[in-house]
Amino acid sequence: MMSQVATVHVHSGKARRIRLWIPLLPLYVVLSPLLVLFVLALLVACVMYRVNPFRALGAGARLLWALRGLQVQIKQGGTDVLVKLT
Amino acid sequence: MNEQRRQILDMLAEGKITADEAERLIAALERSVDESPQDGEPRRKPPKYLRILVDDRSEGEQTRVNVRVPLQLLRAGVRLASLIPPHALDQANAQLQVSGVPIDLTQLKPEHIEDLIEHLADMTIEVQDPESNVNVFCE
Repeated sequence: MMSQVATVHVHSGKARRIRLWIPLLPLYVVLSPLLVLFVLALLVACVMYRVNPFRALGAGARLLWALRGLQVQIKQGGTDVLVKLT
Repeated sequence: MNEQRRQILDMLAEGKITADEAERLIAALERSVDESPQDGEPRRKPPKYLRILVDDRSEGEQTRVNVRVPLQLLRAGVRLASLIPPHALDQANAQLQVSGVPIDLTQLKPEHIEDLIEHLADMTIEVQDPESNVNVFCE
């Protein structure tokens, strides 16, 4: 399953704490027209390089699916930034 | 095993890792004891995430980076790599050889990835210098 929510936490020592839970489904809907263009470009590239387009699409989708669970946290000084895909 | 636990506690005492990191490392150590081989057959679960912890104090200010990468991403990457045309793989292999990394990418097959991930569970990389500390392990 693709990532459904991106969690962003920003905590700065002096400023207030920001916690955002961003639903990704609306983002996917907004980006879907670009996806059509991307798929067309991918098909052309697959034909040029003689790669099975269905396998390429499957591998690309799997890569997108696999992003779920990715977490990056950076703390520097009094600032703490956390980005998590769930 | 006690030696590894002592090493973690030493690192904590020296301030190279935080209490949270020490707790995670000890928990990982205990898990590896619980899942130790019985009847000669290993029964441990395959790891799910690759963890990269960086603690840097080089510019006077402490910077901590904590990255958790799903190993599913590695599986997907290998599948994607299997689509790369053979001549491109040959070129990549040649460049890897030039860079001193003798890896043959044509031998990296999706069907071998599970073995690779299973063995990643045993992998722990620790790089320490007076100003920074890097830990890479799977959990």
